Amino acid sequence: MTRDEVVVPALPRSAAALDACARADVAANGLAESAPTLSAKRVTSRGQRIILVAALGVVLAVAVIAPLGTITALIGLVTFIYLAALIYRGLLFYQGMRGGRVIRVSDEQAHSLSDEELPVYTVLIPVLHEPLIETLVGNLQRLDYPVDKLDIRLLIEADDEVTWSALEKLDLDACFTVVAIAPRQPRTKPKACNVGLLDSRGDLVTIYDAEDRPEPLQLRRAAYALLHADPQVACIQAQLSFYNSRQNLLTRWFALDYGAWFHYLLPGLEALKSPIPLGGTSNHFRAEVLYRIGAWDPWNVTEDADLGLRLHRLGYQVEVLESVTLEEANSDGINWIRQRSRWYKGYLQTLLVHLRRGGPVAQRGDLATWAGLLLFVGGTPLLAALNGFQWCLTLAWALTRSDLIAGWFPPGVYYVAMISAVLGNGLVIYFNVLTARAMGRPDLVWAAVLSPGYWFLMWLAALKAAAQLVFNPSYWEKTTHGLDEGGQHE
Amino acid sequence: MNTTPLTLAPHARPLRRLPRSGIPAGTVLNLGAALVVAWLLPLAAVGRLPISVSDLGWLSGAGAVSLALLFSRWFQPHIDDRDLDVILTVLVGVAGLWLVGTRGIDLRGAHLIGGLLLSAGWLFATMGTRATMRLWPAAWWVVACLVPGLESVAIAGVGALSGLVIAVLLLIRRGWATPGQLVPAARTRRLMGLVYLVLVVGIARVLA
Repeated sequence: MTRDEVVVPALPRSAAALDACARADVAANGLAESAPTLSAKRVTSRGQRIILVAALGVVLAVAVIAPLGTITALIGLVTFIYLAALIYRGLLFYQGMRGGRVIRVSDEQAHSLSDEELPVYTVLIPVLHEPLIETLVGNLQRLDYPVDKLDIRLLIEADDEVTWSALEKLDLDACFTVVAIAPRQPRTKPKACNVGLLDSRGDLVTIYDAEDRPEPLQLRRAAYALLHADPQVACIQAQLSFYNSRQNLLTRWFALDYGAWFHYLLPGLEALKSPIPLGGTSNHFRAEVLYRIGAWDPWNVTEDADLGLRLHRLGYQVEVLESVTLEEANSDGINWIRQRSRWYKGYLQTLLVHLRRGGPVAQRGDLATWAGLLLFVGGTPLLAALNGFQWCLTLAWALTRSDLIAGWFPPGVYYVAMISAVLGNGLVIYFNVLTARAMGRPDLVWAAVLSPGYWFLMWLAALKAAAQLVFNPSYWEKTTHGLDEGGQHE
Repeated sequence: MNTTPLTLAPHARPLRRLPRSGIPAGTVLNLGAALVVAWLLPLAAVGRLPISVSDLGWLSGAGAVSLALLFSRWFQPHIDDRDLDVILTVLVGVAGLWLVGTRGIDLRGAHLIGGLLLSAGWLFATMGTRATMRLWPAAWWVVACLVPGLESVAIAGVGALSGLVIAVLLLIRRGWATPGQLVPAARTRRLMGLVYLVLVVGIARVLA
């Protein structure tokens, strides 16, 4: 099937006849019913379960016969995967340093389209337990776009008394629509977005989070860019940054994380024609394409990354727009681990979904796609989870010089592991220092040098993600906001 | 696994509180148990007591600092994660047992750090990650036990006095905890702490 022939009929174009509960059901189960191979409602497909059980059985059987050899083989496998992921990340940085394609729309160009020429823009804002909704509305009212062409939809869970109480005190403009989401499982952001998409008016669609501060001209720039882009450009990702990056060491690490992503990794993925996991906010879509590919998967907790993969597999392109949305960087360690564990869990869900065969989606079997899916989407959480155990082994051997541990690392594995550990960790710290330079932020250099502390937090988040993938795969870890210095209270 | 903040159920009656503060007395007992029971029991199980006079001084200092850290005012967003508590309990518990049971290297240092990790495991299980991480500066007084004390009462005095001075300065600078800053551990947490202790002592005996 060609790209233009593929339609995933997950959502109806008109939902006027549906009540709130029916809309929530369609939003939650449309994709799972029309294209089950694309949905994370089932964590694994039947084929995947057979393969996993068979592989586990083989490993256990071999472990009984030759335990030392099994451990050595597993360590060797992990070591070589580390090396492959390291080489791939180095390649991404190299390509990214050569400069990726970022769409730049000047202020003059952004204003060159008259109000009549501008398309209707649907802005979806999923909100949960948000007493400061007045701030959110204020940020949205700063958007420079004709009010009659705006379709801003506040998506609020019907039983969210905190937000409803705060909303009652506000007098909203006519461009705002408040959509009550019926309390149906899964209680996730993508399900809310799907409900909001039903009966939306926009030719273009974007999402913002409640604490986001988008640059005022962003909608005009995105509209201009999409109107002048090739039809296969289905989505434009704006850049993300933080307004509280100097708050503490964790926010500085987070700023480096995002900086590396937007300065090097994202351009590198573009250059290698790899699939691009979207960010969860400030993605600007053509509404028609969004409906065509089945919109968001409500069972995937990184629905944005999944959508990026699906767009790629269907032959659509994602471009990056030079326009910044400011967000709140997580400044609390436990809150950060909860948020990051959701991202890792979602990446694992996305990996499992896109390794499935068949369905209405044409397989993109090229090397770039597989490398991006396996080494980046899958490799990021899996290697973060295994990192800590490697460090513990290294530390235990260094302290005790145990013959048992030494026996697990024959020369072929040992030297590769040593190269990965020394060169790999050193390179990543070097990349972070480069990122600080690219961002023009010398204050981030010492945070870059202290990166191993950030990796420890990533390890904990990855362990939590792996456990939750088994016991509660679609549970949405809500990130608490308002912890920046302006919002901090005792 | 659901991750709700550590709070009292509406119908639960709080434990008796220390005067002029919102600090539950049970939390003090919990901390004392961690510093003494979770640290000493495994060491006793493997036959690596007694501790010296100077150790007692440093441990007293650690106790004083711990109390001050926990019961002075600090930013408490009440964001907790039970999954993380369990993960950290297991990780530090395993690391602590490995150190307590180890042989062939500096035993005293390994056992001291091992005992410290085992105490931390108890705290992660019963009080949660946030409260436990609040206490980490007090670990310096425990690590100071590695300094050869030569059974010196003077060094014991230095350990105890330094801890007391820091504790007093903390309380003066930050003030008492606000009501609701700390809440008693729920029953499931106390049960998990008990299971943890039983496992730790049992495995330590096996390793001995």
